[in-house]
Amino acid sequence: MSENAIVETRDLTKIYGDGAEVRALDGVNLVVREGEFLTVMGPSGSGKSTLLHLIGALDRPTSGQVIVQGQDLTQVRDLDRFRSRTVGFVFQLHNLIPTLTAQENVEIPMHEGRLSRRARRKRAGELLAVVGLAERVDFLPNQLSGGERQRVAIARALANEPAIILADEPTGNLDSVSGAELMRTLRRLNQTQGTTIIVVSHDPKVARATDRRITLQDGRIVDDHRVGAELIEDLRELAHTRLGELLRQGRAEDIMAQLGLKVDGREPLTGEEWRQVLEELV
Amino acid sequence: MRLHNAQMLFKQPRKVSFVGIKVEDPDRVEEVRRRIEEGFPEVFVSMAADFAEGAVDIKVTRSMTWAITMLAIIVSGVGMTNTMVMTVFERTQEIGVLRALGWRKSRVLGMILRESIVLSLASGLMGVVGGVVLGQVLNAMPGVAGFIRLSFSPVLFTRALVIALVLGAGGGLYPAWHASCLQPLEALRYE
Repeated sequence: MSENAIVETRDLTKIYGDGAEVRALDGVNLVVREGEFLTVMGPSGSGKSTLLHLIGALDRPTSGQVIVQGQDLTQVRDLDRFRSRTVGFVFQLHNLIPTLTAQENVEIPMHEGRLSRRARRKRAGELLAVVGLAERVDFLPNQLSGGERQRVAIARALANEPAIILADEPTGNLDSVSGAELMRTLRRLNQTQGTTIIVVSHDPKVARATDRRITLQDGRIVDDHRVGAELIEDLRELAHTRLGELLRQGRAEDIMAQLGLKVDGREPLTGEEWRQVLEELV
Repeated sequence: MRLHNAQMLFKQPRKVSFVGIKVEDPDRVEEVRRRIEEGFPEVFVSMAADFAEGAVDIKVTRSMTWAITMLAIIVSGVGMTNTMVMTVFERTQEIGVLRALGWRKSRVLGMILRESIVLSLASGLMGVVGGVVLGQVLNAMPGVAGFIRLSFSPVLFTRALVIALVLGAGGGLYPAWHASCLQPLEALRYE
């Protein structure tokens, strides 16, 4: 396994159907390093959710390997235990249990552990505070907004201190403001706790909030780059509109270096930094 | 036992509900019967032979009662299973989420089975209370009073609740097993 890799796929293939075969994934080789925050993008049917499901042990590949924290999932018998201890899921529809409070929903994954009821309750309260919902612990899902429900889902995903959070279109059912807030929450978790987060989304704004963007098409990776580098492309595009000679001279990298912004490292460009770059250029 | 004591025991003071008459001359039985019926029209007179035939009727009635009881138990069991099967279907996505979050099959099975048992015990309790109340109401109605003799005991109530418990466990077993076998991904996609 590659150094510092927390997830590695080798020739990962998933084929559905006996008659007319559908190759959802076709020989995908991917390495995700510990602490990365990345987006998997692609058109509908490109295999992005399938990739997430295989990494999260919700499904088994047709061929190839999925290695998570050194474990080859094709050899693991007890996938329930693996999911409980290693992975936290955030779904597009929050999938909260409607008859349970926010706190009780967050406690759900902990039932498979050895925590006492009191300890579970305490930890659930702490996790809800981390996502900014300390005042909502006793609220039912129908008393929460869409964004709040997704934050409860994030808190639930963190319940067993997983190594990886897998989020499948987490902002898909949210308005832009709530979606941005949710991505900020995930970003904060990634930065403060070092949790590896893989997000599946078709929204470029989601990708901009992460460190790395992988694009799938027809079950294959067609693009894999750091988001900082993408901003360089945006700056170059701006040169074709109004910003003129400075950018055409290729000085965009110099400007970003002057601002202390790395483009190949792990530090992302936040919205505020992007604004600074634009102000400098304009 | 003295008549007075029997009247106190059955809570029917100053009443006689049954008189047995032994006729010395068997050939005069019909005549005695006719004279009692003429003298006391409100009294129902039956021959020992008729009573013997009635005893058979009592046995048949008792058998029918048991048959109806067994039918009620079977119908309740089927109803319990049906209720829990529908519950599992409606909560398929929810079960998918639980499994995706790491819940084992055994935990899902235990959850559904516990719900089934609690539901059937609650129903059993309601049935016991309802039966007592209904019996009292019927016994107070003019046309029915006297035909029903209520007899309640802890054994009877315990038996009813045990039957409810067994029905809950038995009726919920298949739905619980089915729920535990749901594949997480398929359950999540279920609409």
